[in-house]
Amino acid sequence: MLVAGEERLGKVYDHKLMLRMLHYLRPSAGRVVLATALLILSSLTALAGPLITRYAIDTFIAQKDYEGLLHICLLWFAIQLGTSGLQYAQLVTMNLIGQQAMLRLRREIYAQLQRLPIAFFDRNPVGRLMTRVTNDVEVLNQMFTQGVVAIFGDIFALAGIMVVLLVMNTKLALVTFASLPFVFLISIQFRRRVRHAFVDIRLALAKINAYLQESLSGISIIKAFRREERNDAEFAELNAEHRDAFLRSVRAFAIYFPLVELIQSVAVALIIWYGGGRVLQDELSFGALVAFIQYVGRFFRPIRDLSDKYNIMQDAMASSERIFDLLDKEPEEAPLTSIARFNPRADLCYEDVSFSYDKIVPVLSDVSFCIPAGKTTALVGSTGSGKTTLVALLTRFYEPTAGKITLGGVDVRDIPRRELRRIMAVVQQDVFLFSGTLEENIRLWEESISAEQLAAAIRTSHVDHLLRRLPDGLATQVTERGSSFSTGERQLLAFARALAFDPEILILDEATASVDSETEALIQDALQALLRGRTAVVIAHRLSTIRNADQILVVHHGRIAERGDHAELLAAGGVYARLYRLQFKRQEADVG
Amino acid sequence: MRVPGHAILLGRLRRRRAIGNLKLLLTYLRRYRARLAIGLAAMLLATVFSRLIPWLLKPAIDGLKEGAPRGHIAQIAVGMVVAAAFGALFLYLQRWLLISTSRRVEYDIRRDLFAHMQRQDLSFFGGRKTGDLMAHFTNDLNAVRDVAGPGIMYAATMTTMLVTSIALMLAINPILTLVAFAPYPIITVVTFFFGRAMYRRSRRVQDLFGDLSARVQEDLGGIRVTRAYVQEENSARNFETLSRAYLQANMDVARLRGVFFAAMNALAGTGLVLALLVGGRQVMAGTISLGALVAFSAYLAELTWPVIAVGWVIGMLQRGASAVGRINRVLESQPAIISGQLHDRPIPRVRFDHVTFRYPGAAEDALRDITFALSPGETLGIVGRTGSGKSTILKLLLRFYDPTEGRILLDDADLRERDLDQLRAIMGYTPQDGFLFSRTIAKNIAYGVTHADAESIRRAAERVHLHDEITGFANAYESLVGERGITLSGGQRQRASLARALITEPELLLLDDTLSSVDAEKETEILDELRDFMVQRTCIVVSHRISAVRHADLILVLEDGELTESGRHEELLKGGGLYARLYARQRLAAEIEGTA
Repeated sequence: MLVAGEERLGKVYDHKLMLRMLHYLRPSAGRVVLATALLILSSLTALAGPLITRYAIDTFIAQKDYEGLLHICLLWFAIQLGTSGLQYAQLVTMNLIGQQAMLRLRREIYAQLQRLPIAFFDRNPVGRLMTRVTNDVEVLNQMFTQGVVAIFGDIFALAGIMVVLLVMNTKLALVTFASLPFVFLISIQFRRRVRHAFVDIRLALAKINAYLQESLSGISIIKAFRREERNDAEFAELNAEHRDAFLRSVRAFAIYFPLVELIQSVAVALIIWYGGGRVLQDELSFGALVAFIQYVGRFFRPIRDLSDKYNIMQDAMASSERIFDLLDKEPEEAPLTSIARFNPRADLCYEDVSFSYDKIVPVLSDVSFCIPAGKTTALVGSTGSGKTTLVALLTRFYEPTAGKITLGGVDVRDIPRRELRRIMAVVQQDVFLFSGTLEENIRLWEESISAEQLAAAIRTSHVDHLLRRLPDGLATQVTERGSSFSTGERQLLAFARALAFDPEILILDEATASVDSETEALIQDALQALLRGRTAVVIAHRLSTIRNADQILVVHHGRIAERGDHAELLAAGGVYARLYRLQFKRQEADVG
Repeated sequence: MRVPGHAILLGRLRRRRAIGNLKLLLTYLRRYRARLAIGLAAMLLATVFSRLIPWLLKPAIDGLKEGAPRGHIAQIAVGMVVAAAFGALFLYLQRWLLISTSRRVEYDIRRDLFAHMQRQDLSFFGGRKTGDLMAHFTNDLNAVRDVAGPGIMYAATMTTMLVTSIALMLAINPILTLVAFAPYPIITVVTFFFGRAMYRRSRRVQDLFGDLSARVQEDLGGIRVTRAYVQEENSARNFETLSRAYLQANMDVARLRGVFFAAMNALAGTGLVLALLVGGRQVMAGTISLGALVAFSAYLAELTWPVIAVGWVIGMLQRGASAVGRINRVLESQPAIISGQLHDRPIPRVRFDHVTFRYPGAAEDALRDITFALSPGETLGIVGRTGSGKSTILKLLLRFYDPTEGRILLDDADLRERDLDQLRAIMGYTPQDGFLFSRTIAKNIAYGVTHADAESIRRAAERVHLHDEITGFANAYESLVGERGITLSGGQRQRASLARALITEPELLLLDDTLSSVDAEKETEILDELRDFMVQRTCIVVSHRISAVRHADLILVLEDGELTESGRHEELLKGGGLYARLYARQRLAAEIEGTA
């Protein structure tokens, strides 16, 4: 059946991972010290209550000194306020440390994602990568804020109580401590059981979610094959698995908490009995006895909490491993040994270029041709012939497996990718729009583009026609990847984007979807402006683009089958000529 | 279709709906009333026994003060242990019975929700995002379960504790009780307002987290654009801005929580201080004993937590109520496609009678005035461009939707008058995308049949030329399909889904561009071999390839939802329309493939 992507029990502590995580706390080192100090201080002041009760009973109530009682009560009140203040400061500092560490981590993961080669994104689904930046980081925050430092707090509270008890009465303290091993043993047992149950719960939940997701996407198959009842049964199995794992954890909790309370009460009874004997022999004061009883209640809390911390640590280790794994991936750009000088307005040449995505199936084989500077080259060919791959190599999203691409004789691999991309603009067939304003989608976030350049780009691309129907103009919000814009409008927006960046080299994948004749006219016109005076490589679907191109390359099965201009290729009577007659004649008739 | 058990329950629920959202929960809880009753009784006893321990402190301390014999003290200590043991036993029963019930209720609701959702029309799913539907099963169900278990338990425990403790404290000394409780009204008010403020701030954190996720998702989706336009830094800057806002929102929550806990600490502490001061004075005056003061303080200290938790429980109930409301709305939605009568099932005759259809919420018709008839055992081919309405014809036949106008007849009976289950059993459908489930290949092929032996699965795979490829996998037919198993190519998936349809031996075979990812040659080969299978059945073959439909008894050409050409292959070629053009182009493409 379904197997979901969930790890079994992982490590609780890994020194290397821990050190690397702590690295993200380093810039907050001062705050960490402060938070720790606040934590120790507040755990200690929180211990004052029983001690004060003791003095109040033994000294003031016993001697009927109301003045003294009032003073010590005021002192206690002040300590309460102080403790509250310390706890507030501690909580806020701790959270700030955690949040800042998260910010650093997120920033680094995000930057890393921006550096990884495009091929990486072909292999890894967006959803999974997103989890690294969001949920996995959040888990680490839990560790930073509730795990590491809080453990110190628990240990200090425990140690503080033990010291106070030992000082008040060593024998009684030792009697009280007799309960500790039991609580420890039970806690360890409990933690193990609950941990296993939790892992099972998570696994079952992942299965349930996977099953649901799949049922929702495959609902038409479910209906067509009348699987509803059998699916009910299948789902019931997963559902029961989840419920039973949960019941195991409920059972563990239901046993653990009453047991700890029982031990605590036994400890109180012991204190009454043994301590009572000490009181009768005048070895122990009443106040001290009461203080003992009050301390016992606080004694068990830190031990109980430790099992939570354990789970937090285990989760954090798993998340950090995934995060660091991503951070350790090789980025796209290795540092260049030498950076070549290059002329952006020069011929682009493919020299015996071969390429394969998986190193098995060749996509391009021994391709050689030149794209003359300032001229338009059209690529024509059927789907899957290799046209898109050809242009993807230009932006160095992928590197040729053999051969090289040169710009004015300079191997493009000697040019840093970012420098290379700066002189290019890419217009994809499926125009990607970001959520944000229209202006942001045209200039992206480039501030070096002036208002005049932007206005000119909008005019030339005829986006101003589109703006007229939008009351908010350039400030119009693009939603859900631009679903409110038609294919033609999106094409125009992409033209505007390319024009605003004013590239030397233009890479264009013409949209195949048909648009209404008015938009088509606008696109034709904007396209002319876009191509003028630039080195352009166009994956062409429009007859007009192809006919006006200075050079046409017919790509077939990863090779250049024919090359020449429109007239030459027609005269040659090859594939292009036949394709033209079949596919474009009608277009010609339409466009005139 | 049979009425599943949950539908009866739901019918009952629907009538009760107006009374309030949590009523639905009550209906589910009712099944476990015995457990709940015992659990609540255990809770009552557990609380009473736990109250006994501080109560015993009083005679213990006072006895010591008066120099009682050690044996007397020992008796009290034993009494404490006995009370604690009973308390622990009942606490166990309380937790086990009350919390486990919530898990059972969760199971029941999840089961009913799934069963109900599965039986909704496709239009139900079209109008909703998968994520939202999933959220009913995750967030909403969690909220409901929290109410059903911890919510009920804590509310009941808190009330019992408050009532019993206050009663016992009043018994010790009314004035002391009044003084010690002085800060408590403030605590209640603070908790209430804190709860509201906290909710708002937490919502903001959640919203920003959603924004952050959406941002990353989009940026990863658009990474090629970002790279191509060298916008990495700017895009990182936008992310940074959002991350910082998220940090701020989190800190707002942290600060508020910090203030709240500090205030609670101080207020509850004030009560303890007042008790010591006033109680101490009363001990000096001899109004109460020292033991009484100690017992009183113990009660007071134990009340701090329940009082703070009041706000928390209220929030839980509110979240639970709105979650129940959302779940209820799903459970209330009724399918519009209703089953009719059982009919005979011969090899069917199919007739479309002026059928017009518009998808729910769409602006334009997907099909307009489609009429055609198909005799038993005939094969119908449908060709046309993407989006011309080819697949919609099949979806209407399957009654995923009903026509907006006109009617569809199967053996002269309107589809709407036929038993839905039988109707779909007659049909063998293969979707365009070759959707498979993450289970073994064998189970995928046998998806539509209750029992299938290895032999028939194998035969189905052979029919679609998949057998050799399957035996090439490490686990052959037992290989898992999907993320955790093997990745099938588009063509393999399509062929597996064709096998899935063939194994059901349908009377009406519906192929929706089933072999589009298989190369044309292989497609022809498979279809040729299927011919004797198809001859005994009525078939509808949707394809973008002429080669797949050219032998059909009737071919329809669709353009933008309208029927523009129909006839046999040769007739359509002579007609010189879209069909003829498509044919010529595909011939050329095939030729180029051949010559390359």
